[in-house]
Amino acid sequence: MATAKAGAGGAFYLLYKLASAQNQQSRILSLAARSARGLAEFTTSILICYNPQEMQLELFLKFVLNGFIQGSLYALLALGLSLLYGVLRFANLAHGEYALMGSFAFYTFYVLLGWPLLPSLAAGFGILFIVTLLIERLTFTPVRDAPPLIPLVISIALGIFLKNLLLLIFEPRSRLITANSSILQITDFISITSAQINIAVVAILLMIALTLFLKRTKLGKAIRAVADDREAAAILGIPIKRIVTITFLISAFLAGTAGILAAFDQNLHPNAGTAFTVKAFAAVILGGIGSIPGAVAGGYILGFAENILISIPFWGWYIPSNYKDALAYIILILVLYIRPNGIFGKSAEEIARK
Amino acid sequence: MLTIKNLSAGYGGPIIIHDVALEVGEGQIVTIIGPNGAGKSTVLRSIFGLTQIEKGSSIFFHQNNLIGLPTSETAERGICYVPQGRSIFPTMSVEENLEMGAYIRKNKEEIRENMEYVYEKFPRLYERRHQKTKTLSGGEQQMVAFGRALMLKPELLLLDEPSIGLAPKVVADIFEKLLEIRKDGTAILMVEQNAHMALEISDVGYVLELGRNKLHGPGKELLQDDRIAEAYLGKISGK
Repeated sequence: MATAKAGAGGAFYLLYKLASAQNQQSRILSLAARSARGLAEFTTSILICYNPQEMQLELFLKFVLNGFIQGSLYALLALGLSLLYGVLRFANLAHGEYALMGSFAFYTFYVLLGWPLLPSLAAGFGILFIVTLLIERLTFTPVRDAPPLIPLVISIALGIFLKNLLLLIFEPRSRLITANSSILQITDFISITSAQINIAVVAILLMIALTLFLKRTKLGKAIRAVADDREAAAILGIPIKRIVTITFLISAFLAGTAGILAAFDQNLHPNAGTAFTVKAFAAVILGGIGSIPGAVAGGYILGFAENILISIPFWGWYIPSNYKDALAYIILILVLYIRPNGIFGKSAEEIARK
Repeated sequence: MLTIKNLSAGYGGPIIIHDVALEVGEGQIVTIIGPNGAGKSTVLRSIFGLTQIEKGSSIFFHQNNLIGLPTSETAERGICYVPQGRSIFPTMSVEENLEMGAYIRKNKEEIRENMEYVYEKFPRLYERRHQKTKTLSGGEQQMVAFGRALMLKPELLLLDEPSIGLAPKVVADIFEKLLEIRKDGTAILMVEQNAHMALEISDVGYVLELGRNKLHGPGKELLQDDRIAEAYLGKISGK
């Protein structure tokens, strides 16, 4: 059986490798590569995942905790995406790359140059903001009166460009900021690192801060007004261009924070942006596009779903953990089947009324 | 106060209005009537820089040329505009809508006083001040749109079809409010389908047809005009 496993896995792995070598040239081949890898993983996992043992409560709790942390990260990413969508009516598919720009800029100062934490954060965000402003001026501003499909397509190209820029500068290998991450042992089995605590705490604080900002401050209200009705806002004298720029910066700040927090917890490869974008996008769709509480709920649902479902035995079987991502999308499809506008989404009539 | 001359404009395609001329004096109520597609709304939108204006057109508010001014800077000149369909902020509360109306004003005390003025004018809005405006009735939403425009204490208020989609009783209330607003010192330029009611309260009426001035005169006179009566008033004056 082990030979069969190795054989099947190996064959598909070779195919995958072969295909991924052509990755740059051909999208179709890359798709083939991914399918090959999926098949390879499927075969291997079927052979190893049968686990007749009783599930332990601790294991379950551990995954709940993981889900919460992962969910915090997704929620943070989804917030920025959703906010920008609300104001500009397009999903910035380079959002994950913004997160990575934040983490790699920070990484440069913190690890490569050895600066202390706070100056590194300041410098990292400084660079992220400058790049964000530059990107907006060069790519999104010239098409600001075009239909939202145009900036959407631009953001896809931008994502590819930024990803390759990061690969060029930082080489195609993973980075992890391990510095002073202490481990808090809760039980024998459950532990949490300080990096993970940071993710949850900072994410929640930022969610509260963003909500207060949008509800209480004049600028925040103006952002909501532009999201509700851009022309009406312009008529009242609200400076649309400035509001759009500020929204880009806030969105970049939220993404960058998520990126930096993640860099302390997991390996970050310059390629990781797409995964971030897709997860954030899924969370936003899940919660209802354009809705801030929806983005947060979507992020946590995604985080919990991914982690909890793999910790529950189904008739003695566990879903292999490499199916985390697939599970997230199954949940997404199910939710959209029941509520096509997302959990907190506007109904079709409401959208039509606008 | 507002002087429009030779105004030709469109939306990038064919030109919709040709050489339109129009004047609004201090404290006047002026109404533009005309059939659908005559370009009435385009006149209002041109004042706010929301159209493509042809060369040779002129729009002056007091001594200031408004052509070329970005939309978001027009309000600072003392003009407010309530577009058709009200375009209030649906996910924001009544009070937040009013606050946004005063976005360009700085003095908090004045803004508060102004808000009291709006609530006095529309007590219904005070009752609903914390409600999201999408939960309000059509008439209430129109009040929010008016109230929000009044938060700037404009010298001139532009209204596009203020009565559209409202019950006759509500329309009567709204027009009564317009007279009050004028009495408080705000001139009004409106586009209205409900030509009869609008001309009743108007100092001057303009008739637009196929994007051109057809005729104009005091509201009461236009009401007596047979051509108007036939075309827009359902012969009410001939009864």
